[in-house]
Amino acid sequence: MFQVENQSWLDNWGQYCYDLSGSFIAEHSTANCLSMEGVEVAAVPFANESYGIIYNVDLLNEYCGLENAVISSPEEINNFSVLKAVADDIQARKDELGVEGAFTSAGLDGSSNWRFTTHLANMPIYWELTDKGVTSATSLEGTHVENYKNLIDLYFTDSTCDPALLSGKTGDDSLAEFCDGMAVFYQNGTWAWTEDGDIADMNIAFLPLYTGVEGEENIGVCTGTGNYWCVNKNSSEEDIQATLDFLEWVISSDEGKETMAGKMAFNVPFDTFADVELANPLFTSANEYEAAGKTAVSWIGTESLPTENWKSELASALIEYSQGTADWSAVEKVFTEDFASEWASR
Amino acid sequence: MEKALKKYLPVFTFPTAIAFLIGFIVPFVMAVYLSFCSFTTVNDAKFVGISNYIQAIKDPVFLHSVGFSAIFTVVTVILINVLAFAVALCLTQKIKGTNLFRTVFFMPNLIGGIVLGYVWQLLFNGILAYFNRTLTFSSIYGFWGLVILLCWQQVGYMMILYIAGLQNIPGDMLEAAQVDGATGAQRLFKIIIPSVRPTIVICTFMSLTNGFKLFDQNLALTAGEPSHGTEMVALNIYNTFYGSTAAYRGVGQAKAVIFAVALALVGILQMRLTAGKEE
Repeated sequence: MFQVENQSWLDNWGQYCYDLSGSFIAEHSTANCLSMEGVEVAAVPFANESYGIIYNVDLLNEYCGLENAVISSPEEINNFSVLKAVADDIQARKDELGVEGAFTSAGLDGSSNWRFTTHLANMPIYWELTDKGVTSATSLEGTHVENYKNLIDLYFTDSTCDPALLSGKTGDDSLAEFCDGMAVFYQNGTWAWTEDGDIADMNIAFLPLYTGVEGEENIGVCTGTGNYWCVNKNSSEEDIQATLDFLEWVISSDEGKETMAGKMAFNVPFDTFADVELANPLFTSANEYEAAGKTAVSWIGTESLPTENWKSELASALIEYSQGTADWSAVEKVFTEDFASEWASR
Repeated sequence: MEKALKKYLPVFTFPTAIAFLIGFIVPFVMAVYLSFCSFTTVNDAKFVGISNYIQAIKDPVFLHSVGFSAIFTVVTVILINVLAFAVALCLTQKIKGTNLFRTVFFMPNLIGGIVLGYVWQLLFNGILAYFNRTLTFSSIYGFWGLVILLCWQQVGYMMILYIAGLQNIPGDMLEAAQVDGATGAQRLFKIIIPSVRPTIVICTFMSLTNGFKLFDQNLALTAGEPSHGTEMVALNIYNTFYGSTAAYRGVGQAKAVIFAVALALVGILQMRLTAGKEE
């Protein structure tokens, strides 16, 4: 058994995929399985995840209670301009609210820069592909890179630290600032919530990644799956059968279900989990957007990213932009030129 | 006696020979073979000829990393050996607490490179924060950061080797020189340094290869930022291997072979040069 992240992983690893069609896990899957030429079901997803801007509900409510607050309830934040107005105001009145900044430090150190080079990078690509009516791309015009800049600039200016220091900030720094109530907003995903972490005691919810695109009032948070099970077709028949039996046990037995949905707090996309309650409040928050009729943002952007190299190029460009040694055109180049050349060299 | 030696020769050499075969010869031969292949997993490779090598030497980032590593190695070899020798000289004088100082100077060598890298990153960034900068501000910062880190880590180790060398110099030779009226500088350059030449050969060889092969410290301290500016050869090979699609694994492998051969040549050249008068 092995794992892939998305369709593009099958370019490298698809040659080892056993056809899972008809297997227990494929039959009971409630999400989209991956397929490829000659293999009907190559990979079966086992965890739905969402990401967006996580906010401290109590702190934001406290802000709403301040005199002359820009909004009177968190629900009023439904696009980038409102988000920016709120964040700018929190930043200006941080002492009054007892925080160090509106956003936690957007750490560009390798430990969590994927929050911006993978997850946030989904947004400009998602909007460009949606405009064009396609779901994947090997080159971009960069029509929405300006929107990416909107939110990045907001993270950099309305933050707990000076942008020039961001390359030394880690994912742990950011999480600690959020849990200590030093900032109201924190970009991350459902995985940030852990049962035994400090975050479990907090009252938290999601905001979608608003970047200033027309019509963004109708979006929810980014929801998809980046974890798929595959079975190695080169294994012996007994091993393949044993693996399939094991996976069936994982999603149907009490112990397996308790481990996946309880201990790991996953949102598991199989119909055998229909009776399981979600432990993680961020899933509840994500679902509320969908219940309110908003469209969940798909991961077509992240799934179109060419290589790990491309992500490090974006991280480098963001670092240089944050410390003022390069301007925004370096980031634009990564989304346009580098995006195409990384795809071309695959 | 000779007979017994012959009889037991295989018994003593066999385990080491096997370990050398499994741990070095086989991986090296496989590595050379794979550098001519395109592969996802190592036992499922397809022969593609020398195209990996062509791509490797055409890569400007790789060439930059070779240059960066070379300058870095020259600087660290000189600094580490001069400092280690100086400290060793001080700590072989008759002063109090030499054992304590030797232990303290040696200790950084016991800490792993990744840990050291992160600790020094905190230290450097903590200081640079006063100037509103970080280590990634320019590759000059990263370069000297790495130099300081490696010196701090290795001076103590080389010091121990130099101390051993210095203690092997016969005391009466120095005494005789002193009686004959040799100055301190004369004793240092005419007696002490020539006497520890074998140690100098070993220490420069070790610091040379360590400088070129540096990986953990590079990864933890700067990770190659800003924009590959401080990426050294080993890190570049790693990023090539894992940073792209399977098609690039062969290229990373080719870079690794080029690197190993080049390093071996430089090492042999250095041994020839410094050990020249040893016989």
